[in-house]
Amino acid sequence: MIGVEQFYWAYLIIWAGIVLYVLYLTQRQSKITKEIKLLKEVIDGGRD
Amino acid sequence: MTFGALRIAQKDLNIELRTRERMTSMVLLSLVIILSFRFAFFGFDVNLTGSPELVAPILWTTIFFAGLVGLESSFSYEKENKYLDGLLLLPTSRFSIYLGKMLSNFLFLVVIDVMTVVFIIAFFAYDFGGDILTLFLVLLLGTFSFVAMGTLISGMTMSARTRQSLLQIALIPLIVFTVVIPAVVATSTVVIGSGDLAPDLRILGGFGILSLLLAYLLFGHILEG
Amino acid sequence: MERRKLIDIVLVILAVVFVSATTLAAFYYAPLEPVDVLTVVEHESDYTGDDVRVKGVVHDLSGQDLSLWDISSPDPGITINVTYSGEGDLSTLASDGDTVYVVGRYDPDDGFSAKEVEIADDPDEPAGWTSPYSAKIFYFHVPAAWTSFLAFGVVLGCSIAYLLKGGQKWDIWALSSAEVGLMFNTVAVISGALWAKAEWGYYWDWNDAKLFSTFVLWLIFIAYVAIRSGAVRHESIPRVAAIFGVLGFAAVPISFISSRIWTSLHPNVVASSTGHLSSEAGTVLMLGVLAFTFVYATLFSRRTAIERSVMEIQDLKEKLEEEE
Repeated sequence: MIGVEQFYWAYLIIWAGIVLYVLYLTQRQSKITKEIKLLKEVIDGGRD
Repeated sequence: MTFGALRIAQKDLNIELRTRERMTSMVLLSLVIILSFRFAFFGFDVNLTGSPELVAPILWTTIFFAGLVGLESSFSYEKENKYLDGLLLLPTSRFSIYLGKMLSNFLFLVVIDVMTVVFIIAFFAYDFGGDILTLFLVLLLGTFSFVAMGTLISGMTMSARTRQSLLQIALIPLIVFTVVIPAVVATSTVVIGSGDLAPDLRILGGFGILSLLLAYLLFGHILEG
Repeated sequence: MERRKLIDIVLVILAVVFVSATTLAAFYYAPLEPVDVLTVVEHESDYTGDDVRVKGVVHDLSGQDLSLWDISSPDPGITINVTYSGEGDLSTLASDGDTVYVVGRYDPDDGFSAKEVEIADDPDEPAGWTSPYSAKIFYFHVPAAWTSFLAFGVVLGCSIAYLLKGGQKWDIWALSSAEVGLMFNTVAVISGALWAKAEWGYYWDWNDAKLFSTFVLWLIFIAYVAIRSGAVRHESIPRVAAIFGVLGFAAVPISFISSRIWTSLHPNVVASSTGHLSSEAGTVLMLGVLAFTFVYATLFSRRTAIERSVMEIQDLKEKLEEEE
């Protein structure tokens, strides 16, 4: 079969791109969640 | 409307005649780019008379870069001196502000067109011969089309902090097909002397008019922010 | 809040199910050649009775049977079996992948009976795939490209809504959709380039209208995302981005029609007169489009959630400043 290799590479790259983007989103989200938690603690701490 | 536009353009010209800031940097940049081409081709001993297909790319690369520098600073005087509100308070429509700015940018860039052609004649010893009038027609139309979209985008990006890089990033993809390629192809047609000019000139003119229309619809939105 | 979570979970499940289904179908079910470019060059007004001359690609040559696949006119999408009754052994006249002219008679019941077979000798006309297996990437490349168009369409819609009505929601949606769409466009371009290497022998051709216009589309949305990420919430940025989103969307229809109106080797399968999908290929393609749309919806939802958290941080910071 001609082109088997190219097919697998292209298939891999499509999903690698999507998975990398998901990882990037997850990392951003967790960073932001941490920051929100920190800010809330600071605000709550200030009230005490 | 037109009167207001003319007044704004006149004001820009007066400032330019006094300070000469923008013209100086644009002409110098044009000179530096042409000289860079001259020196980059040094080892090959390229003469443009022998390979006229190189004229259009060199000419337009220079004009586009100098034009980008001109557009970057097209609102900077108002911005730096906080005159933007003053500009908005003028009893003219937002579109006239755009028209005025476009007119002054156009005039500056036409000077650059002339200077670049002169530099090419001077440093590459290239003889445009009888083509020069047609060449200037193409240059004027290309410049108009470039400036029409360019002023709109420079109005959009003027308040961003990374204004210079944003202008380039936002403007270049919009003009690749619509200005850059038709302008270079039309200029090559003139210089080499074969082929049909009309389709590329039509694209240039059409895109210029489309840009004016878009500016009419959108420039008010841009300045509101 | 709870409803959002539920929608997210449903979307993830749908995405995973459809992606798996598409992958399985593309690997095991889909025909090797999902599209073909058969065209009838000459034929009489009535397709039965008289001799017709049909141009096609030899698809499955076994013995004396020459199957022509998906003859596009006058009845698009039909598969015609050709029986050859002329002189000589057919297998010495043509082999799989050849473009041929077949002269013969067509009968809707019996199929096409050929009297003459002539190997076509014009290299400009595409004749099947040089690399049949790599063409399977079609089932992922097309959905990715389609999803990026959908995403940019959402950018257009939300940008117009933002300009007309205002409201942060539209702005967040436009930004999120642009970013996700840019990602899909990137993988579509890269997978296309890999396929091109197998099929055409090179990764990229700057003179190909489809490739060039899609590259420009990609640049435009890079610029869009750059406009958004540069400034720290400057008031005018959403408005500027919305206008740029409207301007930039113009590149989507250009990219779509470019290969249909300008010089391009890019195959036109959907919405064109030259390409027709077999029903199996069409099913897998539909599955792929659905799968990628669900992936898009999932990512879009995650991306907007991030933007909402960023808003929350800003509110909290303002609150903190007030208390101090």
